[in-house]
Amino acid sequence: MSFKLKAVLVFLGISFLPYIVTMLLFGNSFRQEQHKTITKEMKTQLNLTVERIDQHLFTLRNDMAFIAKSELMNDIYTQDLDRRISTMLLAKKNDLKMVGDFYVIDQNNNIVASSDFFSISQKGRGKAFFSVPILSSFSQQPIAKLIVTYPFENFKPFFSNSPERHYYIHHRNVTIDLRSSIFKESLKVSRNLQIKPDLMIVLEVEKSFAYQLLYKYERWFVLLLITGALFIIAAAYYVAKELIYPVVILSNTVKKITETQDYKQKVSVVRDDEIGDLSDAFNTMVSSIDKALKEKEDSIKEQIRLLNIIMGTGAGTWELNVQTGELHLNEEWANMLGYTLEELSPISFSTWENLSHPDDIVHSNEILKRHLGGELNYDEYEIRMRHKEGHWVWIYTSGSVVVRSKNGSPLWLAGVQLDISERKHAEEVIRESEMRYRALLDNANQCFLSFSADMILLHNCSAKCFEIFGSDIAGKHVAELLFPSDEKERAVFIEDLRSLIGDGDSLRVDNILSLLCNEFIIGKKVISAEYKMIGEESFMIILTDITEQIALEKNIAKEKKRLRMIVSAVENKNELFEILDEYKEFMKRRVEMVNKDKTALQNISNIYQSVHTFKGLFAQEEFITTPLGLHKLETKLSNFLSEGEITNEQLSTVLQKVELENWLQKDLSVLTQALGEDFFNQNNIIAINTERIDEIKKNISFKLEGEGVEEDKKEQILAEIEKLKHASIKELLSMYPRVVEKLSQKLSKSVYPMKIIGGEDIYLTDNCVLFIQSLGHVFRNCVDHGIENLEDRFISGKNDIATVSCVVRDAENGIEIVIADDGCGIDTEKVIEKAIQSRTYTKEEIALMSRDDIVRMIFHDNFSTADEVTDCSGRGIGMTAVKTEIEKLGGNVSVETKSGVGTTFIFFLPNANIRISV
Amino acid sequence: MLNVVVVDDSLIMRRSISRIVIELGHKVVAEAINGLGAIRCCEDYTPDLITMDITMPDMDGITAVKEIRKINKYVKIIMITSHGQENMVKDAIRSGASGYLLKPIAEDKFFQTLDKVFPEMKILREKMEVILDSKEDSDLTIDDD
Repeated sequence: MSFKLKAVLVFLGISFLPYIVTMLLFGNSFRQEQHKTITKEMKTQLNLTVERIDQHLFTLRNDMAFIAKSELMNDIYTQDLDRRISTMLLAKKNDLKMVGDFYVIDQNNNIVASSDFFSISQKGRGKAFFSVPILSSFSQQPIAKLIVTYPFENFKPFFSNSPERHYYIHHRNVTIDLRSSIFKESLKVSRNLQIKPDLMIVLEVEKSFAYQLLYKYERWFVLLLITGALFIIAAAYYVAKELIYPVVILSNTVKKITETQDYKQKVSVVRDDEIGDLSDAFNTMVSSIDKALKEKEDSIKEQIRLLNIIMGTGAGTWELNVQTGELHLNEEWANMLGYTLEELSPISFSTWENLSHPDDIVHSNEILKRHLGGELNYDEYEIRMRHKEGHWVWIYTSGSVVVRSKNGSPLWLAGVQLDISERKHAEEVIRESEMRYRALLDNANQCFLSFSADMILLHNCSAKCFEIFGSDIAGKHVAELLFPSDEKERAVFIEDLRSLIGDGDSLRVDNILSLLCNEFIIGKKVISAEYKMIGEESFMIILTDITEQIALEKNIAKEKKRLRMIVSAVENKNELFEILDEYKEFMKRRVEMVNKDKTALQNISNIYQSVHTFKGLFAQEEFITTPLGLHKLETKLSNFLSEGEITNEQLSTVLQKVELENWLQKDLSVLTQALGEDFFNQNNIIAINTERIDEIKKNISFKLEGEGVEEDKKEQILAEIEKLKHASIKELLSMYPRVVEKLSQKLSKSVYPMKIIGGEDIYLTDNCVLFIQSLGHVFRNCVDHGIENLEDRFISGKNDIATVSCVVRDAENGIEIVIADDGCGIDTEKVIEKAIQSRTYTKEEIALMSRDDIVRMIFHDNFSTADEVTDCSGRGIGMTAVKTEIEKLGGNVSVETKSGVGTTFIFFLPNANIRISV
Repeated sequence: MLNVVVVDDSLIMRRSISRIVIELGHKVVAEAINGLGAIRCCEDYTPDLITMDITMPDMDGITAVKEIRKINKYVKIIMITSHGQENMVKDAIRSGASGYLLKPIAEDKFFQTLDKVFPEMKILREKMEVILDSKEDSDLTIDDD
């Protein structure tokens, strides 16, 4: 058991416990005494209240008896009995204010009078009853009963001077609570009311009220108790502090010092009394022991430290006598160069000189001289020395004068020497790698800007940066470089980048970086920028000069446009020619189109529409200059339209001046250059010079290379051009739909637009050209002779719109071109008539002929069934020519006709006329 | 499969985005014509992804993003933007949008953006591809046998 614990226990034993026990005993008896007094007082007061109520009830009963006895009551069946009783009760008002309702019942328990009939019928609820017999004044026998009820609330005034109390009134089985609050513990004081055994008033007093006074005393008592306890504890604390605590500290310190041997510890008791003296003396003793120990330790430490430094660095040491050249070295010095000390001896200054690199020794001697002259504080330099194995070792040496002669001149120099070959090597490697890195950067053709939150560029910029910005940009503010003039953009840029620092959400960082401005114009260069975040705080911008690339792209786009125009011209040559024809017409007539009879505005809107149409058409044909020119003209015209101030003369001048011809010429010359003059000269049948085609092909395929054009599309374009060498049958026939259309318009016949079906991939030899041309006669015949006029078609129940078809199909050993119409067919009667008339055949000859033979007569010279010769057909030579041509090619023609249904011409071309490969 | 809400005031844009979403194998659970609608859709359908136009009547895309972030931290929002709206997009992304797409919307661009916004989906798909490849290989060896 420690000294501390013992002291506490003793203190508790002698003072604290007895105090507590005494106080508690005293407190308890006082409390009981108080309790008794209060309870007694309460009871007395309650009894007084009960007495008062008794008195009142007694008076009440007497009064009631008086009323019952009064003569007025004899005639209980009188109608106004109730009023009379009320009057009497009112007269006694002061005493009888407790009365609520009354009623009178006769011998048979019938109510004969009442103050409030309805209330009475609810009798027995919360009311007390007094019943007084009403006696007959003759016989003194009871003839009826007067019953009075009154609410128990009326008792309240009796209790009003004791607010904390709680009352019950028991009436038979009914309990009426006169206060709303209910307490579980209560003092009960009760008394039977003597008047009626079934009425009882119970008064309860809440205990807490009773004890309230008591609590007041108890509070004082507890306060006293605590104060006393605190005082005792304070006293105990003082005693402990003054006596026990210093002793404990002293003993603890002694114990600690003995255990740890640390004599720095002291007893921290500062006092003026004897205990203070004791601790001071103790501290002095301990510190003197500590001081002695420390001095001893320091000197040993210093020695060890010096040794360690020399050993640890592996440094060589040297001492040089400047006067005599005497040199002392240590073992490490010799080891550095691969020797032992013995091998080097005898050692003198010349040993050192011999080992040093001759280039460095001049420098080192210079330093030594300056040191000895007092100019430098240290003799310090790096020098190469020869290793035993022959290579050079980089040595760092540093020393100073340590001993001087009596007159102050230096005598002994001492110093250390370190092998720094490795550091030198590392420096070399770093320098090399930096040079390589720089070479890489300089040749990357890109500018790398790296910087962190301060937006100041770090120094490692490539040569390209210099080229882009025209000056050295290291240390400059990046935003000022990129946005030299736009302050607002600059601020946004800085804010954007700063917001990314430490963000950590890589998705958000990527998103924001990709939204930053990625193209700058610096000077006259177009620079593209790519942003990267390095770590969480640094950025890198990679700038690429794309000026040339953009120029190149522009050129390529131009070239592509040109090629597209050529390809389109080739693909849609027929439409093109048509457009060109119309356009040429327009150019010729453009001034005439200004009609003097119309207003200028009307004229403009006319011309405007044409211009707009041509613009669209040429744009569709991928023309380059013309659509642009027309667009300008269109804008001009539309301005005139909206301003409305122009005369016809002015309009004519404008149109005259406009260089429509030049624009077209420019575009056409492109086409001519590529496709040759012939392209525009042959209108229907094309066969472009083979050499030229090859050239275009080569050109296009070269230009399309690496242009992102899909391989399929490229093939398609090339094949299209290849086809130009030779036209397919379909292409050769492609002029005829227009022939049919124009002729039918001329003859006012309606024909469905004709389509050439088949023949896309069939190519004919050149000698077929005349035959194809001659087919025009057939189509003309079909429209002119074959198809009836509208009325005839209507009568024979045919479709209003006639059909002429042209099909190319495969046949045995060749192909067939089938041209058919749904007209009236060939009239054999007319043919025979004509034949006889023209004396081609005699009647007898015809009689012998088959129907087919008769039909074939149409191919004879000078034969036409039409009555009149029109400007398109009818001279009779047409069909003969066709027949001649087909037969020249080794083919033949057959005709199928049915009167009223139609005619079909079938031309057979043998394989000899078909190119196997293009 | 992602549940997608498409928000745009233009019917044509909504149709074209919906078509791409469906072609990529996801599901359009609702469409809205402004930010208010977007918020309601977000509450009613708890989508995985919302494509959000920036300029819309009544409530624009950026406000909508902010509001949606108050009620739902997890839904990914891709802004649909056009050139010249870069600063607004930055705002949207700082407010919690996950990515953006420039009009006109192309299927492959949409696909790439989805990969960025749902990296876990990309990993899953690549895993599936590996599994499918190995399955094909094994089928071949069986054929050889």
